[in-house]
Amino acid sequence: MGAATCWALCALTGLLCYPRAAHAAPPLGLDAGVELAAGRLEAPRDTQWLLSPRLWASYRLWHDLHLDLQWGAAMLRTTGEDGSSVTLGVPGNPWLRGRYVFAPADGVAVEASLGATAPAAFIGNGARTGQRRSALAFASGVRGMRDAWIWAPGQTAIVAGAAVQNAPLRHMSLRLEGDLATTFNAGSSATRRITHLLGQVAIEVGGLLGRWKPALRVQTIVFDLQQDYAQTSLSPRLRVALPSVTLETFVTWNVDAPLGTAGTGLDVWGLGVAGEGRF
Amino acid sequence: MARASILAAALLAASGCGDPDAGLSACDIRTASCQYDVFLAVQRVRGHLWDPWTDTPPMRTITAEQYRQELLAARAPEDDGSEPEFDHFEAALELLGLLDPERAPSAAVEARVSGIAAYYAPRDRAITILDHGEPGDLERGTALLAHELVHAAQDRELGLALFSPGRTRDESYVRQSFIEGEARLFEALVTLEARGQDIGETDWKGYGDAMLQGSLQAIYDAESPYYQLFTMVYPLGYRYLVSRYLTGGYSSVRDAFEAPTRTVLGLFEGGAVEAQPPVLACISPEPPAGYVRAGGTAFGLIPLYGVLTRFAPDADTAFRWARAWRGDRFTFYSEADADADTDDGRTLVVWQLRFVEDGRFQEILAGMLAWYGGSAVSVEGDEIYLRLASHGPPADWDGWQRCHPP
Repeated sequence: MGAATCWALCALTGLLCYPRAAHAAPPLGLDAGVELAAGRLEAPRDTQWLLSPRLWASYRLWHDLHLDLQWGAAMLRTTGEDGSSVTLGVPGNPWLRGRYVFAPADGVAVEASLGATAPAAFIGNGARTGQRRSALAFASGVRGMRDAWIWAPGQTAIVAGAAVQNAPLRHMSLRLEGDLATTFNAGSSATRRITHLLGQVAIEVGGLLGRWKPALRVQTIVFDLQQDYAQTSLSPRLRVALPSVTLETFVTWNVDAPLGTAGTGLDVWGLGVAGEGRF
Repeated sequence: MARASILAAALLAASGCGDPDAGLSACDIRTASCQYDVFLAVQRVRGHLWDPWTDTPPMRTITAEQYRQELLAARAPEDDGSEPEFDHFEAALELLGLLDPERAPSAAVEARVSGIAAYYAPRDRAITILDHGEPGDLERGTALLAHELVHAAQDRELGLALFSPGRTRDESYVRQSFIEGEARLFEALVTLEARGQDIGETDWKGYGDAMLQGSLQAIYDAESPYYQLFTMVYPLGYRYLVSRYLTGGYSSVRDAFEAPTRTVLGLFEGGAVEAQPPVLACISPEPPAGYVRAGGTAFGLIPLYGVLTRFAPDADTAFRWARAWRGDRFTFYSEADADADTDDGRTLVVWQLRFVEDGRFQEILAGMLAWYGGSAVSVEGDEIYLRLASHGPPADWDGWQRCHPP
């Protein structure tokens, strides 16, 4: 694929990238990417279509210190049986964090991060409030509720994270992630209070087959640290590393209730494409 | 690799064991798991996704006797030695025939205890389920909980305390019809899911008509119809919203809330009647000598129907008459300078009613003359004036200028 075609594809799909492993230390500079996730939800008398972009950028401030910024949005179109439709868009919360990356041993990379979100996810009051709130929940759901604090209306979050990555076997990569988040009501000081505690753990097992990198991400996010209030998802992914850019396609499948197919779950799943580049 | 295989097998088992077609089943709403399942089902049928940032509303179960005691305590007079204020509005309703003067002091409480199985309170954003002591009907309980969960969602989206009140009693009934109509609509959809029935196989119109007929008959049969008037908001709201939902989905229901009709008659006619309530011939009358205006409103179709049931031959006739309504103004007066200790309950009522000028006008007029007496009823063009006094008419009743042109 020529470079011009590649950049055109990236421009079409947007640019978002999840942080690349520090296993291969990037040069000083900027990594950036865009992800576009989509989903569909059937109700008895209408159908909802979601398109959700998420932008990401990571700037290497110092040798091992990075500054990451992520921001997403949800665009929802609801169509009735009579063809009437309502379209609305809602911004997510931008998430800024500092990330320290170091290699304690050969082939092992460790990350520690601390950051916060700004409460930009505004749903307003009135007839469309419920639909805007649902759009945010949908944008989170098609990603298996990954980094759910980005899609929390009226909330500010403080997030601490850690990750370990290595290649235990030839042609195989393994990444373990964990995040702990505390959310607060965004508003006057009189109402500001801790609303939720969240714990997120994920394991991603990948193959290294030349420029092709298939992977499977298994993730669980737990709200309020209560066992019954959790969401587990599986996300098979396929990445291809091209000169100066990496493209990815993925499917996310929620396993258990409330979003999954098991039991009384809502049967939410999503698919997406992403591209990342280095500048 | 072995561990990875075990993990993969466990995940596959966890995901594959669930029936992908399984939805809600009727369940015991006193259990937390059932409450959560119904909560998810309500979101599903409304086309909303489970929102992790909104907790399920608190729920409690109390006995009917506990609810009765709560209502009685709320109505108990202040324990400060002072006399309770006389309720002139209730006296006015007695004069109209909407309340039986021989009713028990706790009749209002008993009507609520017997007529309610669950309720949502915006005050504390919680749901209360009443245990009437009978063996649980799981399907009925599931439907009721779904109904109240819709109210919880409405409160979150619209603010029920802000949305509910209208400028008149008629307008308040319209808004309550929207609130209850949506809840009844999605309650029905949740019930369908619990039964495994398809939405296309349901007689939605027939369900609404049966609901309305049941309410009309209950009001007709009641000794104090005022306590049953509220039951009309369920079928009226449901009928208005269900046709919109079946074609346009949830968005159409929400669009209707943005522009509710101004009158209950307009709600029943599906918005075909004029949007604005008509201007009556007179502004609110000045009180007769010795009296002050104690309150007033535009009652609309629902209380009018309640009054007409007192002398109509059957519920269908009373409702046919009520649909001739084109406007009203209800005013009631209490004695001037009377306080809680000296108030002997003297109450005057003036009810100004406009009707379509067809055969129904004469039927209604004849019924009112027979029920209230010739001295209480007069006609001004297409308007009927009803004047009632609890302790006999005041001295200047006949000469009192009851109508002030605007």
